[in-house]
Amino acid sequence: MNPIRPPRLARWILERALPRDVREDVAGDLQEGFTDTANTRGPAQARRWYWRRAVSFSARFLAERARDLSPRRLLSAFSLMDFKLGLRMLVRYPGLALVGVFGIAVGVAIAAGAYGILNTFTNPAIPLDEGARVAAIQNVNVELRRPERRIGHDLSDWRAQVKSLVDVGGFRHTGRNLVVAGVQPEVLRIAEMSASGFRIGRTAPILGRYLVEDDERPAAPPVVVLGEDLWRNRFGSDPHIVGRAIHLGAVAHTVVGIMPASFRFPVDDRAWIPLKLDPSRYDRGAGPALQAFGRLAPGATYGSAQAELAALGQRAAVEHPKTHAHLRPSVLPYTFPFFDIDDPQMLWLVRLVQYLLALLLVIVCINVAILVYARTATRHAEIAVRAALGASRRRIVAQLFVEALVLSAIASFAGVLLTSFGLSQVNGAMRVAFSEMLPFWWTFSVSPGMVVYVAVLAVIAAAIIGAVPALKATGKRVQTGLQAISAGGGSGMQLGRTWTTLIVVQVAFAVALLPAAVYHAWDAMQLGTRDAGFPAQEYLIAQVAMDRVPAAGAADPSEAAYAARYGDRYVELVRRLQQEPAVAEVTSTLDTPGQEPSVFVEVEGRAVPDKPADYSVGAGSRMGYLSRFTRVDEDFFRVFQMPLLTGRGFGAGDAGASAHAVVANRTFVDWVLGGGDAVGRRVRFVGRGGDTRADQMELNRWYEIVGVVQDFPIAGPDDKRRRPTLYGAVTAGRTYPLMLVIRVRGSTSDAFAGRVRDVSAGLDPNLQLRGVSSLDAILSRDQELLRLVALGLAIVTACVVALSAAGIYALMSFTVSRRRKEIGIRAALGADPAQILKSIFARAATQLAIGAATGMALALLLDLAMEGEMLNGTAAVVLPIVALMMMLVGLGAAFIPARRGLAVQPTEALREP
Amino acid sequence: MYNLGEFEQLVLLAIVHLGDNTYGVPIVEEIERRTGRATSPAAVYVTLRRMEQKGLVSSQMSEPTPERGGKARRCVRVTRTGLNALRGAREAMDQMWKGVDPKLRGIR
Repeated sequence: MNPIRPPRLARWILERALPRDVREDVAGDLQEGFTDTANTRGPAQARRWYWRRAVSFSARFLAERARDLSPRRLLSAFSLMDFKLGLRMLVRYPGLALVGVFGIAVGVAIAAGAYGILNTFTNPAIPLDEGARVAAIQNVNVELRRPERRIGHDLSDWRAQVKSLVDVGGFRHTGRNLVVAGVQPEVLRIAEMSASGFRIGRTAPILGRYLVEDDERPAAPPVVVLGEDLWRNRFGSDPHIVGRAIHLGAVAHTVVGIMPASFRFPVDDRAWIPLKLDPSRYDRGAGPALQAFGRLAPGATYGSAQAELAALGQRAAVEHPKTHAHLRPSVLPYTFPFFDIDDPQMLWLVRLVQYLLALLLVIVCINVAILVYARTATRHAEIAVRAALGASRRRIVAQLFVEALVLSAIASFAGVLLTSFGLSQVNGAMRVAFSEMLPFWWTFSVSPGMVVYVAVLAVIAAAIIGAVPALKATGKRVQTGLQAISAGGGSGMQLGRTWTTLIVVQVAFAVALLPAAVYHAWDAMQLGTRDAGFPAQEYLIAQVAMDRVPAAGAADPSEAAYAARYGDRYVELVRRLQQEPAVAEVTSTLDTPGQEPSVFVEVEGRAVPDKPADYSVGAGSRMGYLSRFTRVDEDFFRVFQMPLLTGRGFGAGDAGASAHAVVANRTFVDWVLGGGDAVGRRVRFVGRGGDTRADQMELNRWYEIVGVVQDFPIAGPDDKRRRPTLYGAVTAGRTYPLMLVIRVRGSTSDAFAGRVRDVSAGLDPNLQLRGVSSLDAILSRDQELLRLVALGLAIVTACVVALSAAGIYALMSFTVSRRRKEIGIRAALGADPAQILKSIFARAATQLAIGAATGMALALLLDLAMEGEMLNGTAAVVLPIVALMMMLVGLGAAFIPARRGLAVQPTEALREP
Repeated sequence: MYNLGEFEQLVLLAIVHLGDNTYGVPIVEEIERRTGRATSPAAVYVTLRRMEQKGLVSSQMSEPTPERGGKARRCVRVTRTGLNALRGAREAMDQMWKGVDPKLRGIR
């Protein structure tokens, strides 16, 4: 009869958990206990008894072993000499050092950059005194899942009733012309803010005072507080500015104070006027769009504030069901809504992204680890000798870990430098792209937290690239290593199937992922450096807006009166500009040419596409063909030299409310209509993208194509810039705000920008010219961003290529050099060298071919999953090239050691370890 | 002199009661029998190992037996250092207990 044995799994766990010195006696005692229990209570009970003991003993002794790993004991394993050795190894293996440092530096830079950016976005504390207690208050429309901004009435209620929040206030932004005698007027972004916003900041003014509640009275005289930058740049740091009047548009405001440059609350502001909230002038749910803020009262928490606001919200929903049934007030850290964080789950998502990006570094490290492992294998004899001389396994692993740590520390330092450079580029690009819309605390830089994060990453990287290969190299076989050396045997490190798998996986990944990266980097670089295709420097564009503050003496404050006044001014501005000798032509449009917003279009008699467009559809819309849409005046096509291909352009009657004429561009005809005669065909808008102006397009109404124009800018059939576009008509002065386009005679339009501002200011100080810029500058700004993307992709691609090539090289050359002895003996026995080479290459080629084939299949699958977006039809060319390249690297790596093997003398081959 | 913890005292006293060359299982049983407390065997083994590292107990391996799956048994005895530590612990406790009883009665 077979004796009953304890459960095998429990025994296995126990053996791994127990320290070596007590393993035998504890296992023996438990075995004895198990036998006794089985004899007295039966085998089932005995097994349960054994499991309980195994778990309990494993847990206790694992905790004991963890206690043994105290930092002091760990540190005692390292010596300064290890660090010197680490540096020496870098010098001795420059190729490995270079590839390793480069790869890890890029990995660290990406992980650290993501950390820096995401931490800035998700930091709940605004950089003000007790910034984490500054809160944003929102009224969220749960049906549309976005905050309702028309909260004038609610803000008054919150200010009066909420006890957990103090200094509750609101703000909105407005643009005004800053008119200073002798200087060109400049559109100034001004925060209309409750006086409590200054108390929130807890920052004292440099001069004068900040706003107070008294300034918010409707009848209070207009006052303004300026930021230090503005005061210095526009008023020459005039010490007597307080009390002086400055003109914002047509209205004189008295400067009452100057705030230091560090105060830019609520967003990124340098000028503040009081928010004159008068809810009695409008209904609930109407009025200006506002954002609200407050500070948690002493002792209050976000939880208590939320509970209090929720109760108020419920009461408001009962009292005003029509406007408030779907509104839920919420209070959250002030910084969160700026990154669209409205619940804690979003934060988790951001953290997940952060860790996924850090995983990239792990992949890089695994690659470097393969290289290091190959190097470690060549040092097997050294390791075996050290072990024989009494070095403990811990000591050897510690030395190899420190060597890796030196590499990863140097790489991490380079990575932080790279991150610092990258973040400064991102800061610059974001400031250019968003200017003052960007919150002032969104400045990315290398922080102490990031340095700690990188240090942790460096240690993890060193553990992967140093400790893992070291543990493997100093495993059970290290004991046999010395015997093997003395007996003239092999190195003792068996690689076999693992090695083959690594080669196959390495080649497969390189072949699968490289083509897409190369393609997209190349694509971005082409778009980032190409010529505009038209004389963009000759065009000056500016959005024309106008203050809503009625000019002195204007009696009618209504919207219609404002529209009429705007129309008059606009038409007059165009007339005056046309009289300027430097101006060749003037035209008007709704959007910057080339940046038209998206719409979804249905074509009469043509099925709706079954594939959803790659764009989010606005609320209340449905899918159709993705196109762009803008409105232009009748001169637009001529001014931009877009020839009419067929039909007609816009005429006088095309711009009215009942007009139904649209002009399509050539790409719209090719892609959306499927070619053929476009004139007379009808289209209707079925959806619009987020940034499309809803008042400029009527959904579900049929429009007729009256003409077809060439694309803007003129694009060839394969041009990446081709976009299907529809144009509607607009008449200057009937729509606001409009984009003014001026074609200037001569070479550059930038020089004329000042004159345009003068003409506008001379006409009406309330007229604002926003974003005055040459089209050339706008395009090059976009191109700069593309070049940055291309550069980023190129660095990552180069890193992958270098690592993969080095990895494949190391794997191949290591496998073949391990066969040197065999090659030498076969050569000595008279084997044909060609035959030997063939056998080596056949094996290498098989491994490489399997990898390449797997990679190509993977790339095609990915391309298919991404609907051709990954390779854009270049698969047939790019994939075989990359596969061939990787195979050549691999075969080259096999060739060199194979040739060396053939050159070895048989006696030498037999002697070598 | 080494300051013993309460559990260490229990284990050392159990070994003294059981005599030299005892091992883990009887020690656990002895503690449970005398104190009436359930005792974790794993805790006893961990404590024995720790005390051996500190020189409070010493051990020797017996011959392997088939009932134990061919594994040896670790027999322990208290060293001189261990005995001194035990005496020291007792003295400290005695000093602390001196004159406490009447006060405890008063509290009751």
